[in-house]
Amino acid sequence: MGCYKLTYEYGNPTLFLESDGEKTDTLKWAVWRNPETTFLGVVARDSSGSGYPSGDFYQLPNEASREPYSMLGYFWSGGNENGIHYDKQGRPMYKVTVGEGPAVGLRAGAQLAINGVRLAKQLASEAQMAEKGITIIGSGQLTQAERLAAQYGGEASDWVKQTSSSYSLGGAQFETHWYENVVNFLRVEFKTVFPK
Amino acid sequence: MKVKCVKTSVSNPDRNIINGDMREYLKVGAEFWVYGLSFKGGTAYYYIFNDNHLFQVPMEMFDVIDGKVSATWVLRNRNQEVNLWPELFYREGFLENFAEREDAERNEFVPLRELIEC
Repeated sequence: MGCYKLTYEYGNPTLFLESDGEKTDTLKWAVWRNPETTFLGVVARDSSGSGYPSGDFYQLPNEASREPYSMLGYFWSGGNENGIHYDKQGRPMYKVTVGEGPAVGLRAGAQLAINGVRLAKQLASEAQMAEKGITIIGSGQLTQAERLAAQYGGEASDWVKQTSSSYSLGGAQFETHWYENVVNFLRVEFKTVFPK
Repeated sequence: MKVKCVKTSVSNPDRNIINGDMREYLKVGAEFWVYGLSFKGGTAYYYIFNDNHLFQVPMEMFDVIDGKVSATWVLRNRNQEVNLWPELFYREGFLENFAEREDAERNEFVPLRELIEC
């Protein structure tokens, strides 16, 4: 079984409301999903506007029913219809399109090997996300503190940046960063960082 | 200044001490150079480097094994905290970019590290 491509369109002005501040920004995700695994990986991302986290790669959910934004903590889905996902107030948030994936040219063994590496990386990332975390930028030095408080709640002084330990796999080293509210322990905007 | 870890967690009932539980990340007996000091909310911290990140840890987790204060440190009081660390650390965005492993900040840290560790 091959992969298929899911494209997430968010903030398309012809489809979505323009009066909701940050929702007028545009964001387009494309991910490959392999039905044989639970791994979701970003292969393309095109975004503009403000209010979105930046980074190299975002850890995506491993449950097929969840969407990236749920993982990032932005929204709680109010359901979907014809590929358009709505928030709790019934406003359209983003559209998901299922497209064709890459040609299925890999032999089963090669595909299994790739899946194994991906699964190991996914497990490592999930383990990192479950760590207690080291605070690497405390409140008072976090430039994103005001935005985080406005977006997720709490006071600006509640927010810090944390990192997991570093993990090496197949010559690649990576660690996970996130922002944490130290009062209610909400963690948002997980990001995988690959040290150079 | 150099310190040695003597315990990996501190009593932190209100959870307002930064990095108060480092059992997953520090080992008793490990030695670290200190790159700065910080005083905030009644707690004193060392800034240490674990070859990946600079971060603050409560002073009470460590014993001082070399108390020489670095000539690069400058004292300032801002954002309700008192810091005694290199001028570079005060630069807007330096610590945050360093944490994000930006090349420029990582490269700037190399000579500073040599100065502090000499």
